[in-house]
Amino acid sequence: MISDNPARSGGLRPGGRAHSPQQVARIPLVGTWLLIGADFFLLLPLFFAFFLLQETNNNHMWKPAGVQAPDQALGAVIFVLVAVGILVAHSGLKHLQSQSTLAKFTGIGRLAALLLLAAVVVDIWQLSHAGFGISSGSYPSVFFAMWIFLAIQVVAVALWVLSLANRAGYESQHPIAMPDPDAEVEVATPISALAQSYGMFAIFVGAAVLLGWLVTYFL
Amino acid sequence: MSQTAIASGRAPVRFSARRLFLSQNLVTACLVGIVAGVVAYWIGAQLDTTDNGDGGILLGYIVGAAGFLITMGFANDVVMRLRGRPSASIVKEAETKGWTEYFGISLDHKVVGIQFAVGVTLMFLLAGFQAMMIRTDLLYSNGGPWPAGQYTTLVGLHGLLMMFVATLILIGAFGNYFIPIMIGAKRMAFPRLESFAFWLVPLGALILYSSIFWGFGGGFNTGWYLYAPLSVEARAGMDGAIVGFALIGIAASIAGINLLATIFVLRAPGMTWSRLPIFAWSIIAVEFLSALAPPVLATLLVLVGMDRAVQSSFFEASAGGSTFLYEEMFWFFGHPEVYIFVIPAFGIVMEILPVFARKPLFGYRLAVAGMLGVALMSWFVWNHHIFTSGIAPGLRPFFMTATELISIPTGVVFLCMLGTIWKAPLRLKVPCLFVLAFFFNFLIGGLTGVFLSDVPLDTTLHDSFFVVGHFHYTIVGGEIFALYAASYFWFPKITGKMLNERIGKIHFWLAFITFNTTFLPMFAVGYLGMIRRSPVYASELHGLNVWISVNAFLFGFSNLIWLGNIVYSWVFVKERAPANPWESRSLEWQLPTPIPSDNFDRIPTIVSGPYEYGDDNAGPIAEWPESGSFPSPVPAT
Repeated sequence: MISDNPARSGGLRPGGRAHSPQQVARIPLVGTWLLIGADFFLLLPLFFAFFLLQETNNNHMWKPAGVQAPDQALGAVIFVLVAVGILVAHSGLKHLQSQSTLAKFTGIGRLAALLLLAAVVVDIWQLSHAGFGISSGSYPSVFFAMWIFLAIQVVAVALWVLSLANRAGYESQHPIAMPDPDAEVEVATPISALAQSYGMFAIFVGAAVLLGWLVTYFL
Repeated sequence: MSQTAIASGRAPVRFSARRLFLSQNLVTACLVGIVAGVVAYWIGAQLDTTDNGDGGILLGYIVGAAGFLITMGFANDVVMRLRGRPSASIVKEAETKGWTEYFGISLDHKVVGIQFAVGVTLMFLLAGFQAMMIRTDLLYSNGGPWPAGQYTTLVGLHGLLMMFVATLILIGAFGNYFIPIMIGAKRMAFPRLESFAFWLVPLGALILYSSIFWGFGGGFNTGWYLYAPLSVEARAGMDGAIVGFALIGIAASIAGINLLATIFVLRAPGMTWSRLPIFAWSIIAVEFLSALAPPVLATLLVLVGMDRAVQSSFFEASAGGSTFLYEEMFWFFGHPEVYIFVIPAFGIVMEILPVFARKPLFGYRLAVAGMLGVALMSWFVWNHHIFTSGIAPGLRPFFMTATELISIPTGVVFLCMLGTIWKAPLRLKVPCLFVLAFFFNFLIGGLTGVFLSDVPLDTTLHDSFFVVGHFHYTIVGGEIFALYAASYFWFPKITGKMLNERIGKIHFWLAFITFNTTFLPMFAVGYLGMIRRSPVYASELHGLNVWISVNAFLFGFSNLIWLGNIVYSWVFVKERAPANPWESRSLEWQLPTPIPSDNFDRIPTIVSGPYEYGDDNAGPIAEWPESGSFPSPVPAT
């Protein structure tokens, strides 16, 4: 039996002319879980490459003479900037639950995006001052590839949180009413669902940066 | 919770030269893509400090592809979201624009399904033509019309293009077209991403094909595996293969995420897991592979590109790299990829069988468990592809056993299929004939796979034509025969026309016989020592190879009959197909043809399963909120 109560029927709306707001809100959440899975497999070969090439050390070219891991503090700065950026954004996500507090997230979100982009700038500086080139051996190759991939991930998180901040600013000034329950038009994805999805992805990327730092600087 | 709703009106489409060259469309996208690619290539060539020019070529491909996609309009929504504007209503935008929507971004999953069907079928024809060229070359035992270098490129292009086809023809065409309808959804979860995934496919195929134009002889000499270090050292054509393959991998992953999210979230009320059509279950099983495995490939190809363009050291042993890194990661992607080909075929076969057997699907839950089991186990068998590559001997028993164990869930699925037709009053229409052929072919393909999982036998037969025979029996005999069945089965729903039954039977018998007379002898020539990817073979095998080639030409011709039937029935036959010619209970057949752009005026409530054939008490599959707007329920017997 299908319950008429949207809460008990998982938000399904029998006979509706459009998908229910609850269904629309679930789409980014499910999509983000799957994106995280795909992203995990995108990064997997880099970590596999690190351990395999370190173990085989073909022709003693893993870390040839003169090649050392860059200053650990530099990696720490990148990680701290990413972590603080994510924490700042998370501290403001609660404001997205209510129309009256949306505007508060605008500044917080932009600050978080700035911190994340600063981490990317430090990353680029790190790669240009690593003390070795990408072709200096297999460790340098993995190091460059790892931090280029991670930088792209961090840029994606920064743009996501920036879009949330801008959307919060827009919606705080242009509140839009819910459509009629039997309306033909579908609701746009609510900002709260996008924020929750962002939160999940940001934590994943933060963990990847932490792991990347630990592996490439300490092992 | 803050919610937003936006309706988007649409102006009628008019044509003008100004609109054609100044707006975002396929023409301007091609022009911008080419110009951007050439400029980026030139800049890259200036910056490239190496003497091979790969940096410029790769940069040209990537920037050209980005230029094409942005000019098509794929960045519009991203920019709008970055500015904080809510996205426009999807269902409204999906309203039909006429034939032009097939050449641009469409948010209607049925349009994208047809785009996939037509685009991938063209690739299938091209790759099939290359197969004919390969067989022409093998009419001669000491080298045919094409020089050895071009022959290996031919084999690589055929292999890669068929990989694209096999990955996307069932998921892209039938998955996108029918899954939302079958589960009672009005749309896909991410319609823009669905269109994006499609447009990556022709882009990837064109970039792959451009590889043959780099220098005299062009192309790439690695086969479809692109094994390193050969792919690192290969000539400039390899860059096209790398970018093209990566784009298709990204497309497959996006399509996987999209279809999974659609099934998980947008099912109609009452569409419980136990009422989900078995084709949708096969899509769930396969899309977990399709979403997760290709990203491994994408990263791997980026690393190959880095080795080529900036001399990094991932795969060259002398520079600290390892060829094992490529082989392990490639097959970690590659073996799930094989099941990406074949699991949707399981779903199609089990979707079609009950309709023609007029019996419920035997062991529905077992079949679901079997497909999920195959998908899960496919992650743990990849090393059987590299038994002979010097892997640690201690690993071999595990991967041999795991590979043999995967035949158990596969066998369960197979038994469910057989149980469905057991003592059934089979209606031997063309779709059913192709399904029966699937049984025969896939059984041979599957059993020879069990042979090959065995280490001693694999060591002997590795890289021989035995493997070619096994692979083609599973993919062509399995997946492509399921494609034929699906095309005959769903053609009336898509076009409103029936495919000609008589021509269909000619197609069936010619394809079934010549497929087997082509590929069965390959086991023999492989067992007798003929290696693959070589245009030269022992003269004693010449007679068998001539036999194989002649039958391959006939099999190729059978595909022209299939296409001729499609064109003839679609274009020249005026008679409309009955609303539900196969008397199927599935949801898509309860809708009018052509299916409305948003599928359902109102979302139906599902009240029973789709396979309750033979049960006189079985009610209709769904309750329609506005009765009278759809055909009456199908009789159960």
